[in-house]
Amino acid sequence: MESKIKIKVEGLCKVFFSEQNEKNTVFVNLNFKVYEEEFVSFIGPSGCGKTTLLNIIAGLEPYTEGKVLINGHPITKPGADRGMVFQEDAIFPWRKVIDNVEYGLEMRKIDKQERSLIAKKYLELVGLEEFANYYPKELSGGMRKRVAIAMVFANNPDTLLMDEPFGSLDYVTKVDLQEELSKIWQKERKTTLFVTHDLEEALFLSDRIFVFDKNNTIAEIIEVPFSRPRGEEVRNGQELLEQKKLLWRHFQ
Amino acid sequence: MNIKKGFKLNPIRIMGILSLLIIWQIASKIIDDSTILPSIVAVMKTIPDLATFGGKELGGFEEPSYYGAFIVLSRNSLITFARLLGGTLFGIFAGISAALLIWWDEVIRRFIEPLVLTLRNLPPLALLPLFMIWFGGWEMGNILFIAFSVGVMIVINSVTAIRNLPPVQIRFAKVFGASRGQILRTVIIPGIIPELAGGVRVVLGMAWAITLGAEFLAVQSGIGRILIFSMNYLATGRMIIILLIFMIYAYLTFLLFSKFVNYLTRWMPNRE
Repeated sequence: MESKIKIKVEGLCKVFFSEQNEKNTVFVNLNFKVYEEEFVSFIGPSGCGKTTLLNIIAGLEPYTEGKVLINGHPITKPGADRGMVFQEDAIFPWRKVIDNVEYGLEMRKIDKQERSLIAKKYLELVGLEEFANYYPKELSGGMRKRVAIAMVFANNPDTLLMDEPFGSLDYVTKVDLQEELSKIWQKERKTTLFVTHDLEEALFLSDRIFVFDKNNTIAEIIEVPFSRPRGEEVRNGQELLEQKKLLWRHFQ
Repeated sequence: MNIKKGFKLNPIRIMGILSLLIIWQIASKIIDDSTILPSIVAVMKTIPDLATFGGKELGGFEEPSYYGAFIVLSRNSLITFARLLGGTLFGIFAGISAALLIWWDEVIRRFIEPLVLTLRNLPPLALLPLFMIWFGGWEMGNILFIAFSVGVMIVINSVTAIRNLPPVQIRFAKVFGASRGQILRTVIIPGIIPELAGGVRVVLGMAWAITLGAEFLAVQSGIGRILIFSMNYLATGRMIIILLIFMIYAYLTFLLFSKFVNYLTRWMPNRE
């Protein structure tokens, strides 16, 4: 597979000082590449800097040394070319569902009619077209997550950053959303970086999995062998179980 | 009493109010001194006297009458309302603006914050004499005084409200490429409204007190002035009427404000 490099991280160092002025090193010398239209998951123990890494790529956090390039350009600040879904409930409770989905487009000053069309399309994609005029308080946690996903896709970023987006959901809702995401992703093919603790989730969704260790380095990169589209036969198949066993060794 | 739910007349409440009136009536009979506590009937009989407030030059009537009392009360109520509303709105606007500036710029924050923290410790009425010297009998002086007292409290309230916003919402706006101005307009301002509403509710009560205080001391009109004027003439009956009117006004402003806030925060999950 000869693909273009989308994101390149070279010699990344990230050091920060706590309030007690203690020096914390997150990354010493991190290197990796992510190709265009690739779905990559980051897994690893808690506190290994996966979220920090995503924030750096989103442009929300500065880094100390090294290069973080997107399309060959260094990342300095957040931008509409990258979209991010957070673990926490981040959608705006004072906006109706449809107005939330339009948010990014509104910020980019796209005219009312066009953004309403786009928003409707993505609401349909996540199956919430009937809830367009609801306030978020009237939706379940899983539905709010769908709104967040629709918001991000409606803004048409070319890179998608997802920080444990389904971490707080129950298993059934989670599976539902993974399948939905997989479907949408298949259609839109955005380069995606996905942080998760869930091995099944990582295997089900990704093309490659970066396994981080306690020292905040990438211990192993796993190529996921399943073809797409993936459904129940992949999730509950023997092969996924085998892969899960292999992955699990890194956590023991 | 929960103001939000509105005031419904149920038997227990009616009995509460009635027993208060009965106690009043009995107490006035026992005391038997209309300067200390006139009876209910005696209070009602003093209503026409309100017509003469202010004398001719200030729009009062020469002879007591119900009609004149109504006109005098209405006019002075309007004056008081105008002061209260003008001062409060101006204060809220200035207070929120200052808080937003503090959020916007670190230098401004360092400049304004100690100022606000110092001024907060000053009882508002202590400043009134100073404002009287600065602005004299000028109407703007009253409004500025009310605005200032309200503003100091609102700044503190808004700064806290901004600080309490979930950081993830601001980050979310940032990843959509929102500018600082856009974040201010689409996240900060709508996000602080619920907490701010609680602060404004408290401030509203205080604003009534401050407005009356200013009228006691600094001006020749308004229902606060009528109250002090009545006290000077030992007209206890009239004072009680003003107090009753004042209670109704304060209650109505809270009711209206609650309705308005409930509309603004219709997106909030129910807390009860």
